[in-house]
Amino acid sequence: MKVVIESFPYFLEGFAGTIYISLLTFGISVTISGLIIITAEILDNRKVETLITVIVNLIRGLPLLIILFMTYFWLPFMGLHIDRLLAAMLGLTIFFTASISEVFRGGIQSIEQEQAEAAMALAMTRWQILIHIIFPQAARRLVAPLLGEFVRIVKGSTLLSLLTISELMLAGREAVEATFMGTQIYLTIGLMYFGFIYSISLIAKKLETKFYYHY
Amino acid sequence: MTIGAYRFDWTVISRNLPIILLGLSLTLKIAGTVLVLTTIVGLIVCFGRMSKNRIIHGVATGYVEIVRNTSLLVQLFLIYYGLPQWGILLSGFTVAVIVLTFHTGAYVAEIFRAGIESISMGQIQAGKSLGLKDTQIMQHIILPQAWIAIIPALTNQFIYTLKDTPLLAFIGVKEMMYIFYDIQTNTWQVFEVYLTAGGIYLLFSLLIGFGARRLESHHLKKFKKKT
Repeated sequence: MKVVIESFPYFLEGFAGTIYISLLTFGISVTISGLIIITAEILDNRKVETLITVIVNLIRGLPLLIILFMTYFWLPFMGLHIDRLLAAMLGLTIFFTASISEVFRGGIQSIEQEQAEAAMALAMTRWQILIHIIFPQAARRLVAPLLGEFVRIVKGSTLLSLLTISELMLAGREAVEATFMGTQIYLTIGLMYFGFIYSISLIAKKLETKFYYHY
Repeated sequence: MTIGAYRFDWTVISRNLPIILLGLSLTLKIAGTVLVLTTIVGLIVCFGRMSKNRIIHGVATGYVEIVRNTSLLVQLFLIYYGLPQWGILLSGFTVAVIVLTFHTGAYVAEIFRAGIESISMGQIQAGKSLGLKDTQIMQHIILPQAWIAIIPALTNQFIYTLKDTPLLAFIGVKEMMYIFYDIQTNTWQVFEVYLTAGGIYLLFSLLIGFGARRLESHHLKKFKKKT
């Protein structure tokens, strides 16, 4: 127990790292996948859609760890000597951009085709339909699944410890290497993750019922 | 082919093919064992979740929530580095199978529950009004239909499990990722190593997905013939 108390400030520092990495990755992934999906919707081109689907499925078919190792080890050999943290976060961002764009696609598809047809009958342009009909409804339905993706990012960020990027999991690993108190330390680390992730899951569940049954 | 000062040397893959295949076979062995075990764990936990007994329901729900709200890596390291403290020494393989089963079991339980709950209440009431027992309703009404909803989700979960196995390299299990990581640290042929590794994982994900779709359509046909 003493070990846990002594290394707790260190864990908190790691936790801050985890939150920083997760929020940044989430923000960038949501922005990029949002742009991709909106562009695809506006272009409304079969070929572009197929290309996106292929790339998304290719990325989602790979284990996150492999993608992390790819960006981490490949970039320096490609002449890009970026920061280690950036290289690792790039892998995380690529992986979650793919899965978040699937979430966006699902959200847009969940708006019934009839609504778009009704809008078309009212002589709205494709652009107007997207702005006034599809996006506002999809946005409400997307809040809960997006929080779910954030949870997956937090869980996925633990893998960065394998690349010795400092975050909560690495703080735990280093404490264990120094003290050999695996049980106490990993239980504490696990509890910290659980507290954080579970509260987000609860919010997601609340928002889901609120938004879904309101309409 | 070169990128800057980097020279491609695909012989690192062909030279090490025997141990790569050995690693692949261990990966598949672990994933397969976990698949069988999680189906059992998942069924038990699923019935626990739907139980009317509050204690059983609470335990099953607690288990599912704990697993789903912490990461697999924490669970792996907790068991792998925690158990030796209490004098319990297990091999990496045993820890891998136990933790992956524990982890995946929670997700599989939820898949089963969603499948069973997708059957409408009216059908269950109809079964009851015909005087069927609970077990009979489960066996003849719910399960045959729930199965069709369960197969695709279960396959996805199996693919997820396969993609979770690379983590096992870091608790010393000599599965495929371990071998590739080993080759990489020895040769630094990073492109060949991770392209091949990624390609193999991708190939197996696609194969499992394809196999499952075949199985699904087969079941659907059989189901339609019956009704």
